[in-house]
Amino acid sequence: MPVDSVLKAKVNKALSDPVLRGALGKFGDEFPISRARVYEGIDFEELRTAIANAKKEVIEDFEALADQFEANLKKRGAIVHRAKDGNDVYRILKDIAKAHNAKVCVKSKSMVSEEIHLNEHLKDTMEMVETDLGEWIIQQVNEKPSHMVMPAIHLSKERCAEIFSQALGRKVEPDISQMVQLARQTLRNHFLNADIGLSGCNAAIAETGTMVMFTNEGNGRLTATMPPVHVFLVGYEKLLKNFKDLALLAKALPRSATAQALTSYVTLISGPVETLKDKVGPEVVHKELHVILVDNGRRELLTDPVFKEAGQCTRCASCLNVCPVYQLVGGHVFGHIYAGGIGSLLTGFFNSLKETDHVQEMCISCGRCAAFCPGKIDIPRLILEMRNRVRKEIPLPGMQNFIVNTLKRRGLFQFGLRQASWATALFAKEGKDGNKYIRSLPFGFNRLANWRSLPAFSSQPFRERIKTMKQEVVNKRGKVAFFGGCVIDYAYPEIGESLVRVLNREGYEVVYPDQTCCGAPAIYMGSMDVAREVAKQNINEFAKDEFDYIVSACPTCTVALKDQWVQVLKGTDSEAKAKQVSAKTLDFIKLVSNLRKEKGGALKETAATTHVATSQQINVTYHDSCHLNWDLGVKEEPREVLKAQSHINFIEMNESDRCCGFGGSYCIKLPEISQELLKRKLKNIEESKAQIVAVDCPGCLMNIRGGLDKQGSNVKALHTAQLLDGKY
Amino acid sequence: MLTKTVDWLPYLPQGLDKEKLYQIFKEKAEAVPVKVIRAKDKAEAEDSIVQEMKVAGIKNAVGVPMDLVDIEAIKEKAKAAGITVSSELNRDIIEKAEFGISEFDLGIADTGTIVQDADSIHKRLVSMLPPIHLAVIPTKAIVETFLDSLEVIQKAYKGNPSNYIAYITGPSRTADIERVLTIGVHGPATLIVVCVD
Repeated sequence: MPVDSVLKAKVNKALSDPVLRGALGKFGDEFPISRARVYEGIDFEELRTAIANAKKEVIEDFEALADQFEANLKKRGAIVHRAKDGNDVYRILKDIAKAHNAKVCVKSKSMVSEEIHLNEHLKDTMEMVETDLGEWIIQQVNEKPSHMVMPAIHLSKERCAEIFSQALGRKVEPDISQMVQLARQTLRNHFLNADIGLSGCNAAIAETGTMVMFTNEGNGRLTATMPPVHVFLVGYEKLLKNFKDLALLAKALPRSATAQALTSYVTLISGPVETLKDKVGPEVVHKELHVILVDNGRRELLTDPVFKEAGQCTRCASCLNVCPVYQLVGGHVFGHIYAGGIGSLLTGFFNSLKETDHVQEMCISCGRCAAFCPGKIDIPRLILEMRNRVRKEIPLPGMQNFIVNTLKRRGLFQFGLRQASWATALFAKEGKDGNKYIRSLPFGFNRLANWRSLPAFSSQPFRERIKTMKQEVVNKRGKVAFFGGCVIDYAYPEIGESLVRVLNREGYEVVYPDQTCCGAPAIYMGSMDVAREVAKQNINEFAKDEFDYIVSACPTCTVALKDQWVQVLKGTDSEAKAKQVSAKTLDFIKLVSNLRKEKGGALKETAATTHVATSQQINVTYHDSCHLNWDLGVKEEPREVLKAQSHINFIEMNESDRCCGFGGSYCIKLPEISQELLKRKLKNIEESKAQIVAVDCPGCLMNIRGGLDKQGSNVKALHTAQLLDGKY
Repeated sequence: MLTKTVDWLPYLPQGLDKEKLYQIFKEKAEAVPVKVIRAKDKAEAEDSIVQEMKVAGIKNAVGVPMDLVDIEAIKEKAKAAGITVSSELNRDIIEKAEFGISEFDLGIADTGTIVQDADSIHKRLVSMLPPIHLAVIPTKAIVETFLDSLEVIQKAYKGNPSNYIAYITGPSRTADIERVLTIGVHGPATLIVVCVD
């Protein structure tokens, strides 16, 4: 499923850029640690819930709050403008420049100005000077910011020195403190001579008509102080209702953005401040203060029933900082003007669906960012919604479209999977760990397999095997419906068999209702309609009173049954059934943990019928599957259950919760990225010195097992069900 | 007569533990880093200010009229050490000065922050342009949190805050090149806070 060649080329260029990889990699490693330190003693969940609630209130009432904000500013003598798009902003600024015969405009950081390419449009009117160090550097070479907070993070100090040398017309050494001093001297003259100061704003408080800037360099203060005219660009989504709400933002924004308890400067401006007459004084006069409230897609965003949630964004950029894909390719690939997860959403509204197409495609749907967002935005879910909207305008290429649509033709879909077993058997050989792998593929398909081995499909799918399995239920407690999912059904039916045996020992009979794909692949490829069809095909078989639980051993399927079916079937006559299924659905490891805890708190298995010699101690590490950890919030349970097995020495690997790179169709769409993520995962697994890596997702298992096989590793990858069953 | 338009002191939260808050303020500010000095009275504060100018080895300083210390007394004391202190509102003198002195209204213990009604252009220039900035604050005006400071401001201005309120936490900084923390970009590279009892 190739994505277009332009994006591919950008991805490959970024992946082979050592400066970018070094800078982003180092930052990605350090940020979570320093962020955690600065949040010590603060209840992040409580804080972000308060922020989300304050922002939600604003979103519901933003027009009235904008009016109140404007009225308060006007009372103080400020001039307030409304701009519906970039053209309006250019016109307003040109008028202001003309009225003051302005030659130079100093700018402190404003993402709105980047979004509308302001410098480009105003350059014939007056000299536009960026004063934020990073912004100034990229302005010299006409580049766009690659990060919302650190715009020049993609440049090395050597490259910066070249840029300084060219801009200042003399040789500048790659010495960071020297470059900072040169920037201070150079820009100081601009500050003293500028006619207009232009600023972005982090918060706009309706109650008092206050604009707030969080800055570190001090350029925001100088921009607001030195020139006789000051213009603020304010996006509607920056509104806050009450003055005291600022305390919430002050607590979260610097911590989440730069891991600081507070930025060096927080500046609150509520009206035209004092300045020196004709820039030098000594007479003191009041400034001319202009405030431009910018729409440019924001009204549409804030009134969209789904995407208004993105209005809770504080622009901290922590979703970029923790994103495993952003860390590999940076904001020029994973971004348009705004980068990363939130960038793919904002771009769809502030720019266009077309411009966000490449951006949103970069998301691997691991869900990590949502756990860090101080605005409590479910970014990964919104990206899937965005993908769905983009795909309605820009359909998938022919082959991908065929695959997605095959999902809803269940007969054809099952037929295809069955044929895969004899087709893959032709190319399969046994690996070191006893599993069968495809060793070579014809017709150029090798690209899919040459960085990690793919499993051969089973000759008998699980749906056939369960019919002949003899279930020995110990002290029967009830009945569980098993949703197998395509990977277990056709590639790893032995995991299904292990699950049956483990649950039998817990007192549950396992039934395998007639089923087809869960629909998740369609959702991740941007086709909610196909997902809805598939959910409908499954729902009647699972929405039955006789089942005490519905279980899946694939967390991606579990998320589909638990959350996505409810979403896609909302408003249909299957809605009630979807809710019934959701309420009973659990992932395998969570169910085992619950059942064992119910039995009296002992997680240790009572019926020791394991097939391997448990007298031998084994070292086991655990990989957190993204959808289990980030979506379903199951992190401790597998560890507790594994540690309770007396023959297991549990070892925590580094970065256990970092995506392995599988990502479903992602590893076929962008194998270059998947491969890099897998490389890092394998390194962490090997370094843990474990003999076995346990996982709860058959997708991760396929990826990790294939990677271990490819590098001839002695480590065995197993599904937790197999490990608990003891038969492997 | 006060040099301020609005006095914040009557609006501080009741029952502040002055000593405890000062200790937290000092610890947090020093981590940023800020040099924190405590003076028991006006004379001691003025002496500390002159001492800091001598330590910095500067020749030209600027300051604004203040309540906690007497700028005229500072001028006299500095003169003996060969240091010129100007309190003239002259942009070019302030821009060339090596040391700026101003008074802030409040401290925040949690983050080691100082807060000021900065509508006055004079106050802003002396705290922004010179490479060293020294701020005096009343020790008793250290509150615990950012939220506390907003509440003081809300009350002091009866819901209509001054046109410019400045929060400063440490020196001017950047990490824009290779994420290396570098002190002293557009604002002062050194911040000293003298808490006057």
